Amino acid sequence: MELKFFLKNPKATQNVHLDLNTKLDKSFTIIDWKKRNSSFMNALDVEKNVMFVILTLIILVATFNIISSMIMLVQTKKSDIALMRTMGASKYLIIRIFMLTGSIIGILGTIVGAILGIIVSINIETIRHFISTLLRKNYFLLRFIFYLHYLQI
Amino acid sequence: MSNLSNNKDLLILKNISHIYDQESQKIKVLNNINIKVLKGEMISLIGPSGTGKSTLLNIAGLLEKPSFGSISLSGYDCTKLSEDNKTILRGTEIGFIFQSHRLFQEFSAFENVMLPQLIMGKSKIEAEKKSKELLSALGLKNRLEFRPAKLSGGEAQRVAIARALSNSPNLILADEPTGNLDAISAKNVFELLYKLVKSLNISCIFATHNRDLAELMDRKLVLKNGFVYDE
Repeated sequence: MELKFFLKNPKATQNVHLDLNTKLDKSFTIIDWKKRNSSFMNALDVEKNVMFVILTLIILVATFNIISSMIMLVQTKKSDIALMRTMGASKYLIIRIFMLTGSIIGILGTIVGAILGIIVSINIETIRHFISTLLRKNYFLLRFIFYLHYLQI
Repeated sequence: MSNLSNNKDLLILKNISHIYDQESQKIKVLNNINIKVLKGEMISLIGPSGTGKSTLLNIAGLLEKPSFGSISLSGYDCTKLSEDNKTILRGTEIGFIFQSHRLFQEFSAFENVMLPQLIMGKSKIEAEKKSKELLSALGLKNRLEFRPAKLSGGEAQRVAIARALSNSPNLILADEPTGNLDAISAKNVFELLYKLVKSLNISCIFATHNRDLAELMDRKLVLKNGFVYDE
């Protein structure tokens, strides 16, 4: 015999699982939807971890990009730095100028990136539809394969 | 910083020798040089290219440390000063003028003159006032907002002179400032600088290849084979 419980909050399975476990006889086997779809959940978990690694690499590349452009900036501004030194600018002042430049680039990049990210996220369905129409093929089957429109990873 | 003396000698270079290490070869550029610059004195420094005029000016301007010898500026023994104190002394006591004006292209003439003052901690209002005064005195009242690219060679060099004078220094080190100018502009720039040096009672070492200009100065120093001769 099989009994099915539908919860209003699908995330609350753990508490309900514990409650049932204490209240029901040991002959009952309790399986929640996560356990039943464990291979699917594992796949999502792996995907989440891989995404984390990929995003970390992207951030690393972006960081190196900023660092290398700052090094290039210092190289091209060498004569200006020397000139400022003749005017009485201390080493710390020069360091402060370049630190400030780097910070401004970083902060502006973060703000612009966050705004663009939010805009893309809000309009992801429109973008998907546009690209699918453009390429005349539906490359975005994630919605149907992974139920991403309602499943929270 | 401790002031050692308070006499008329503004700059004293004592037994200055400088050796460059170039690919395991040691090149002695300056050899036991002794120079005294009095307050209000304008000295020309002449000599063929590569004899060490710029090196000598860099040493006098505390930008390079000599291999041997001592430097005293405005009574301060610079050989004993820390890098930070040298930087402060450079900002307050010395003004530099270069062969090419070396103005910041991103800034207007006015901002270029303001910059050294802001670096030395003057307020913006004070720096603006002084910059306007200097540029007006140098005949550039109508060029305040012009970028260096929009100025003629002579005008740009006059802005460079204003910049060098902006922190009211006691010593001007000019490294061939008329080298890139035509004869008339060169003479105009020199006369302007000479007038300012005399009216402000400051000292100037003016490196040049132009013997005619050198003759017009208070004293002529010739740099040859690492030695300096008073002509």
